[in-house]
Amino acid sequence: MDYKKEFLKGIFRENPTFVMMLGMCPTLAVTTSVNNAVGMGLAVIAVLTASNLVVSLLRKIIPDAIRIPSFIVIIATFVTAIEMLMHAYVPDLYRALGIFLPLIVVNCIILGRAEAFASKNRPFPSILDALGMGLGFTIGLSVLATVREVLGAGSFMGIPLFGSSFEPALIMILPPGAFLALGILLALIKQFRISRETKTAKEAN
Amino acid sequence: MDKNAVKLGLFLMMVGLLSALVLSALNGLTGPVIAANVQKETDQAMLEVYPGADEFVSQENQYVTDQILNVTLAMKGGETAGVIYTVETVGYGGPLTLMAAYDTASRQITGVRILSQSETPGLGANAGQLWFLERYTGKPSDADLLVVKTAPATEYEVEAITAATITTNAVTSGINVASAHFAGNF
Amino acid sequence: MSYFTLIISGMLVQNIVLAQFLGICPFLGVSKKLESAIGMGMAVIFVMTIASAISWLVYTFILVEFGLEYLTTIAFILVIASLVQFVEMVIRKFSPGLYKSLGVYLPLITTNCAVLGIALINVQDKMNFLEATLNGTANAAGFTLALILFAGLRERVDEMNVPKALEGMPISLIIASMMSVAFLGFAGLV
Repeated sequence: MDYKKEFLKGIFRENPTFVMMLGMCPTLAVTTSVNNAVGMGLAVIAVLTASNLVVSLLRKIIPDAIRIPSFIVIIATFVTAIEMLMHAYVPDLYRALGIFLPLIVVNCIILGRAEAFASKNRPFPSILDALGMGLGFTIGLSVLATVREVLGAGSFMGIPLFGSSFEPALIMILPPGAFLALGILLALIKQFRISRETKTAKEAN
Repeated sequence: MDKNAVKLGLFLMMVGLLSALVLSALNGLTGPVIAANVQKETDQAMLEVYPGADEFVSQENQYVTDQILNVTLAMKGGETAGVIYTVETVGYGGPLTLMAAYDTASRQITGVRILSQSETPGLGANAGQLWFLERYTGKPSDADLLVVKTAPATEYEVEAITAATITTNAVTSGINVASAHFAGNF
Repeated sequence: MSYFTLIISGMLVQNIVLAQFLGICPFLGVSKKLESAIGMGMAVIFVMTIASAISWLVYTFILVEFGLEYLTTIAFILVIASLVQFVEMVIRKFSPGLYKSLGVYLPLITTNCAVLGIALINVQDKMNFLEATLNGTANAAGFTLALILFAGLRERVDEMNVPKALEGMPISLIIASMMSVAFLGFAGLV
């Protein structure tokens, strides 16, 4: 098993945000600021890693017929645990993430990886898979949040970038801005891929 | 009922039970920390809305209604110098909780703070900003305050946040509830 | 809050997909054809209404009674997952015709963050039983409305000449962003 590949696939080729289009709800909702995006990303990495590990360890014990409900209970336990810890030790981030913290339970990335990978592989590769996917998700969120925060609030990680006379495009931190930013980012990525393919095709001729 | 289904059901119940045990242990650990945090924030907010008090005495369940969550007396040298209200209203995006303090001598509002809100970021969420909350400082408490969209003409008028009139209305109505109670009881 | 305000707010002003970002996955996934959009929408209205009602009951009479609020997330997701299983079984038995049009969408609803999201919002905003159930229906109706509009638009765009880089997801998201702007216009209604 190529451990490096298992880890890297979540970041590029199977990036949850830009390629697989999973976990869209938090992606659009918490990217109003980079701090929130990173916070959510870290929470997802924690839950994903813990759940992948437990699912992998228990993969031979969980009866096949009730594997989905079992995964859900396991994931929900870790999500609730993260909620409690964040509420106690980082209350501002807890409040900022709001309802999307408990909604990590139905984040298709986590259930998806448990079903597609962790239930069929050993613990160590499952951890790598979780870390890679989680990191890819965090990177995706951060890129989107950077665009939205810089254009919509004129700041990055809460630090104002432009002078006070800069009027930010408020729409970018409102719901329409989320759809717009993601759509344009995807278009740019697609265009980049198309130009690269045309270039390699031309060079092959 | 076939035996297999019962076995499956039992397995799921065990997983559920294990999860509940883990979480209840964690709850015991984090519960007190969360409660302490809330207390600290409340104390902090009270000092901000009524600066200069040397003691705060909560009136516990007295005066509590479904909008007024708490009434606390601000003491100076053993005498009641001010009254602090914690009020809950409904904003644009959900419940909105605020704290409003009144001075018993001048009968004016000494400060307002937003404790929790779920308003639109960049618009209604600005209700938590000092530049908005300061608009209430010094306002009288003997009548309802009105929200206007231009500069206030009388001392009973408050200027709304641009494009966030609903949030401003919510905050003002919460304050009016506190004002009415203050005028009638203190 | 008056019930009329609740319905208008749930359906239009705070539209669950375009303003609250719940239910995005099915919104983007099931909106390629108008027919499937209608099917999914109907299934969501059905499940969300019942799920809102039952989860409220579980919260009020079990979780709060025993001081177990921290188990809310787990309890709700289990309620929803079981409900969906149960509804699927019942529909398959009693109405094969209905099962054919709705059935395939039902399992997808378990991971629809809209259902869990609204159930949580209902109890967080301290609604009573009628308000919670109505809120569920109103939001589900809003979801269906947004989904059907979106599917209609996507079907149209499919027949047009779109630049290669924008084809598929990118142009769909841009359309969604414009729908979101349009729905912002409802803000003054409530």
